[in-house]
Amino acid sequence: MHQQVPILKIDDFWIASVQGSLHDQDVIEFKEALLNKIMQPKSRGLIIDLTVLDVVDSFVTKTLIDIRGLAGLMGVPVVIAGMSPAVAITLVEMGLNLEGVDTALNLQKGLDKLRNAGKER
Amino acid sequence: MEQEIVGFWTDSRNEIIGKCIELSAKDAILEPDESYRQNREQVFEHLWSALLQDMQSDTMAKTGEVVGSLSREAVRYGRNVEPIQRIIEILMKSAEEAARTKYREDANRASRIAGHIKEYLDKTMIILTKSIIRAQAEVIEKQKEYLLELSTPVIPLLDGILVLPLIGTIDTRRAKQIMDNLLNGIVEAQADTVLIDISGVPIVDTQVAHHLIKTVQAASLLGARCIIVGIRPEFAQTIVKLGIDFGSIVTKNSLQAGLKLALKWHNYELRRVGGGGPDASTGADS
Repeated sequence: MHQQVPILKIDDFWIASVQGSLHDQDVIEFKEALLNKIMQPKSRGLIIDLTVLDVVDSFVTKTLIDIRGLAGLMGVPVVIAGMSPAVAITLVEMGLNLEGVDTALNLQKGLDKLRNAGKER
Repeated sequence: MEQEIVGFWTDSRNEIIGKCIELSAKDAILEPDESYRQNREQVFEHLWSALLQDMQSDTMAKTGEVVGSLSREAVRYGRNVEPIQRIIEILMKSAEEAARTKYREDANRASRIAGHIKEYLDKTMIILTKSIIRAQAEVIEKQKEYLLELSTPVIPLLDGILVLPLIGTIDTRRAKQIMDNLLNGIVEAQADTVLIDISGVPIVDTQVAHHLIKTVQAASLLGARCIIVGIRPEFAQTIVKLGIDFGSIVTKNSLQAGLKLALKWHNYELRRVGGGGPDASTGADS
């Protein structure tokens, strides 16, 4: 499968770092791949890193919300990390807010958030 | 007709400039003014040659350039613009007098030339007025930019805590600027808590509230939590009356209360070391 987004594992956490903008088909593939990964046992969390992403559309946003919902059903918390100001402004201007999705400033803070969430459980 | 004035203008150059210098030395406005004392002759010559070119080409382009740069300079350095007006008047007056002396025997011709000169005087004056207005508009525009930059500081307070004090009326343009500044500030400082102090915002209407909510949402997308502080009774009343949903936004009445909450989120503890009040020698470390 042609993979646009590498999905890596650190400890029990999955990290997907989105590199550049994605086409709709890539987004769908990305979602499938992601869900397959977190299905594995010992998945304690998922971080989607958007640091290098500078453009988003509504489909990507919808998919992010979807992933959050699906992963939630599987009991895996999701954190979106490193969103850039431009992307945040676009989302807010479009009236799309990632209601209920956890966010973090960078990968480190995202990991900390997931670790803390794990402890509380 | 046009050749007549061009010919006169070229032939009488020395008379005109000489007369200008003579007149300006006695002038009540030009003489006490410092700005053109050194290079007065040059300015007259500039203007003279610009007018000559324009008479030949029948436009006002060159004069516009010279007058424009004079007035821009004057406005930028906050000088009086009256001397420029005076210089133009003196040049035209000198030209008229030169014409009257030159064509003493030919009264018809003298008055024709004088009429041309008057025409050019009027045109130049209009150009002067326009260029002063334009120069002032440029200055105002620039000041507006400076003011915008000044008016939205993002202050790093503690590791990971930013303060954004908002002062003055917030319109759409400023709101955009505020959002940009804040988001960049958050990324730069990698801060995850922002205190937005709105006690300096005099009027809060739906627009302002909308902008505030958008700013808070954008910040939370980045992963920073916002606390809106300094909410006055009127603001609270407006929000409730307008039915704006502030539900998911953390608000506090004062900056102190907000700071306490932020410190708690960051697991900081604020306590006094030793007893008593403020001590200048130990500083205000907490």
